[in-house]
Amino acid sequence: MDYALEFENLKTKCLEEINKASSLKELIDLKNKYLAKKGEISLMMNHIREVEDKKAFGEMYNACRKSVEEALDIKIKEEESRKLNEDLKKEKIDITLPGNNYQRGSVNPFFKVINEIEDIFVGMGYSVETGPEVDYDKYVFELLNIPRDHPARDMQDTLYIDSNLLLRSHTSSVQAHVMEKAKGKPIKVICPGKTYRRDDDDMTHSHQFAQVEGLVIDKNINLGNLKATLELFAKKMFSKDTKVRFRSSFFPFTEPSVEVDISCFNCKGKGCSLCKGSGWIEILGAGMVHPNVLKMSGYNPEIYSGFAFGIGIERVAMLKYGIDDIRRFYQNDLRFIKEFKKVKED
Amino acid sequence: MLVSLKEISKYVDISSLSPEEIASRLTFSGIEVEEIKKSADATNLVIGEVIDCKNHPDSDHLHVCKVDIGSDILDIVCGAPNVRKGLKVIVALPGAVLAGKTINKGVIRGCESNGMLCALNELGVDPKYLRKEQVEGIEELPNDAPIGNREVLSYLGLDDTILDLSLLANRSDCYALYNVAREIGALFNRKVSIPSYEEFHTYEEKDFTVSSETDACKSFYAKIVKGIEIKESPKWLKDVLQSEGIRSIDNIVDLGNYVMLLTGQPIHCYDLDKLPKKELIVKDNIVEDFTALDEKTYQIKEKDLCVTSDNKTMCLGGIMGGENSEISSTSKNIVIEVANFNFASIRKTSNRLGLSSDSSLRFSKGINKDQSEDVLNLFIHLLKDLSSFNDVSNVIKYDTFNHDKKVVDCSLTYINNRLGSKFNFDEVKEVLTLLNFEIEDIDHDNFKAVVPSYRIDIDGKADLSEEVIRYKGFDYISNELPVMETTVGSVSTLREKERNIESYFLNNGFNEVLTYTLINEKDNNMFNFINKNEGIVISNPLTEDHKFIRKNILTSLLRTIEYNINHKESDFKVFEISNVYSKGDKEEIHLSMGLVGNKHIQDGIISSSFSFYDLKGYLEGILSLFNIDNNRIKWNVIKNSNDEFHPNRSAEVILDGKVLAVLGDIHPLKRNEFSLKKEVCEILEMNLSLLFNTRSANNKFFEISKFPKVKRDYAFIVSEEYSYLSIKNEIKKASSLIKDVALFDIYKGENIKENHVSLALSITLEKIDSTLKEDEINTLDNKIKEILITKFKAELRG
Repeated sequence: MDYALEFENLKTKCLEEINKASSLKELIDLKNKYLAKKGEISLMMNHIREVEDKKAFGEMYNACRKSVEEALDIKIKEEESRKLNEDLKKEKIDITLPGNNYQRGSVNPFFKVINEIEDIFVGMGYSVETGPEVDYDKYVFELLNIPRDHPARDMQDTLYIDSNLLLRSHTSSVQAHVMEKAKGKPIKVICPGKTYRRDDDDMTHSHQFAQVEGLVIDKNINLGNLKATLELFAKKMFSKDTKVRFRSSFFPFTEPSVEVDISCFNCKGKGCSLCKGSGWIEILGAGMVHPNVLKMSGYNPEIYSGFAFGIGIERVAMLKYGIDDIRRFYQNDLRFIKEFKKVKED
Repeated sequence: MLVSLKEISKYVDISSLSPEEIASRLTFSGIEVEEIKKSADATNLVIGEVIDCKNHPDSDHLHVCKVDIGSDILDIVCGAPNVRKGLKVIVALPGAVLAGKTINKGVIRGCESNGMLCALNELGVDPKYLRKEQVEGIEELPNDAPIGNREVLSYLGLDDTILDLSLLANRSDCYALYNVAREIGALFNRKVSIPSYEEFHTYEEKDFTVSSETDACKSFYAKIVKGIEIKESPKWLKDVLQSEGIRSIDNIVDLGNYVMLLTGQPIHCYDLDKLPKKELIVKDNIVEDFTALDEKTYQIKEKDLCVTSDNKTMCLGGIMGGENSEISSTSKNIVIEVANFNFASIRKTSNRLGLSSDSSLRFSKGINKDQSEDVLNLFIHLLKDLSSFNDVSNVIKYDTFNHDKKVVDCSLTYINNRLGSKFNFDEVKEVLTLLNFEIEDIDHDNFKAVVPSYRIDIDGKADLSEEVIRYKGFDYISNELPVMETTVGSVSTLREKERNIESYFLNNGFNEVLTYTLINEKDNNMFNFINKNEGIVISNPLTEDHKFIRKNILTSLLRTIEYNINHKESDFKVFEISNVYSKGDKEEIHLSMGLVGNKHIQDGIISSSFSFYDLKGYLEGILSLFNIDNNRIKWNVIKNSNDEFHPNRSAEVILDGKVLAVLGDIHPLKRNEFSLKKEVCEILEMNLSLLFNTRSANNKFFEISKFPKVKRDYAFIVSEEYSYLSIKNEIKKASSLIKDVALFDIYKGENIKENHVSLALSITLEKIDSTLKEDEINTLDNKIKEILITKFKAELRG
């Protein structure tokens, strides 16, 4: 018997059938038919007893088996891959359907501005403290060099609870609290918080608003330090080429007192509707802490000096985002709030 | 304060300075000019005479006039009721622009009209300074008005520019034109000439006395003038007063006002013959009804400053004179008062009575105490031109003031250190000298500065540093950050915790809102679950809407929800963190949150309404942020939900025995109050102060078991009288090997007995040091089953 021919025929037959097979099942069947223990190729091994040149027979057997195995493997892989692709096709989705709702919420820009101001000053080494909104006349006025019946009390129409207790009309009241606690040590602090005045609400006035008070006390603090500090703040808050300008003003608790203007970040000082053509925007009040204020809170004004400033939160937010009406902060229209999604401005 | 530049120019040389330059310099040096305005705004005017005036043939109120304007005679139709033949009038010629409006030739009901006859308000004069008849008709010029004169505004004294100063409390001296002139003179280094006059009298008054019985009036100066004539003021005086926004009354009242405008010292004049006694005594212990010049009656109380004569109030000192001693057209003999009333007293009385005047305004800011005689001398000097008189007394005075000049010790070093500037001594000296300080140089660093008497705001050397820098300009200060010991910047612990919660909510899709602290009574009486202390009421609220300081914030949040529902928002999550206050200095930080409508997946492909368990989940989320052990938390039913919370879908959360939070569905009866329709509304309020101040364990590493976990599931039917938590806790107690008990199914309804529920639990077992053995697991399994059966009468399933 010519086993060589026999193997050749078997191989050819197998390869033909493999070639014709069109499904994975057929291929598995072929695998069983030829390569399983009782498969046609496997059974050929029974004939080894009959041949002399067992080695040659073995080699022929292996060669045949290998060709078939390889052909089957390739074909099976092809078939599997074809089937997977078919299945994947069936799993096709519309990638333009809406995503699941994992949006971060939005924040009333009021809080955004407070957080941002806090972060800026924390970066400059300030600590952030808070003080009471319901406070005593002593802290809101008297310790700030505004005795009872002083004309400066006209500057703020205050909401009183009784003759002694009131809703603070400015965050400057925390100056006295902070100094009382610091007991004569240097201070570098900001205090954000709500304030209240006996004011009618309109586009630019609100009976409730908020400020961030800043207070720095040490030996050798001067007005130039205040200017540099506020300029750094303005650059971070508005834009990096912002400049700061002082105008003389009056607050009973600072001397000298200044109104602080920043160069208009919208038109870069050329004049636009935001700055009413002047190129400058009034942004806050500040000054050197009045010697009487230092003295009343236990600091010797001959040794210590300091500066203080009060930033209007809504004012900053209105400028920064171009908000037209202060009442929007308190109206909480979700359409308004949802305009402030971005976590931090570039 | 209105400042007429025409009047100012009499006292300081402002030639070649534009109003804008003056305004800008003043503003930067602390005297803000709010507005620059022209006293009138009109062009192309001429003075004319009506030489013929006929009724319009086709109108019941129009007149057809012929007006002689010197060079021509014009036909003009005029509707004013007072137009008549022979009247001298202001004519606006065709092309004239009156307060922005152009006058053109025209035909009015068939009659040609070549211009317009004008009233002053049509020229841009504020009607509040005009008499009624001046507004209702055209201006009647005097008979000697020059026909054909085209400089009409100048003729009328309306060619003036007015600066409107917005004065801060420190510069009350600028309520005097003299001091504004001094300031402008200093700022521009221009010559200032304030006139001063010798004392003038014709007799020594022997009988009349003035004095004060109160510390609140330390000086009272007077002069008596006899035989005066009360009449109209001359035109120049009327013009000045009009520019300054004061209405002309008569020569004496006008003169008093004019002197006040110039010097800042309020003046009051009494009719000498109406005083019951030859005395004026200031008292502060009078209680009576007083009828003032405005014909209203005011109740005078103790501490009000009264100028009395024979114990009767003649004048509410510094605020308003009395009807009883008022100057009238028949007055002949007058007493002129120049007094100094304490600013605090004037403020109190003025505020209490709601009565203020140009006089009280100046007194309440504080006035110069050292110029009383000068003021009287100025008054008498000017009176000579306004009225004839027979006799003038000497100065009758009461004065207990110390009139020593105020001296401030200062140094160049101090000023430069405070400002961060590098001025030299001469610069500082020059500035202060220009500002009328007298400088005594001690050692070219230290100096003494004598303060000009009108600068009552200057107290110490810090004030001098401000004077220097406001004069020189802020470009002279350095621009260097403070040099201090390096500190680590940080927010307070409390604030940090607040911000953590804020970002938790934002990251979970909540929107952060901000509501008013002050609310109305109705809202203040709702949803008071957390803070039950007595609330705080504002004693002087502006409106009833903002009268109460809220002690809880849930109602405010519900108002926000209401607003947004009314604006067609349907499904949303909101929260607010705010301080609340109650009586006795109690401050707490509260959190409120609300879930409205549905939660959605993929827009709205999958939607389900919010539930109590969403609230609970967020609450547990916060607790986990602070590592609060569940054992410390108790969930109670709210005992009295007040018809505000749903009685069976709400809870009170107790932390260490104190109420931490309330949460749940809003009560159906309260839905209407907040315009809620069908949408679910789940609300929560939490006392964050309690959470922030409680102890809690910090993060720490514990050994993690290397050995596999084993899970066992239990399904059983149990009576609803047992809460899930009680079952879970009991199982957990069974062994320390139980790491977790988790619910994976709950079912009620068909096939389950009434008041019973089917639960399925997955229990995780784990051992830290070895693999769990089969018999350990089986023992525990039996124990769990036994607990379920005996303690909870559970019926185990499959």
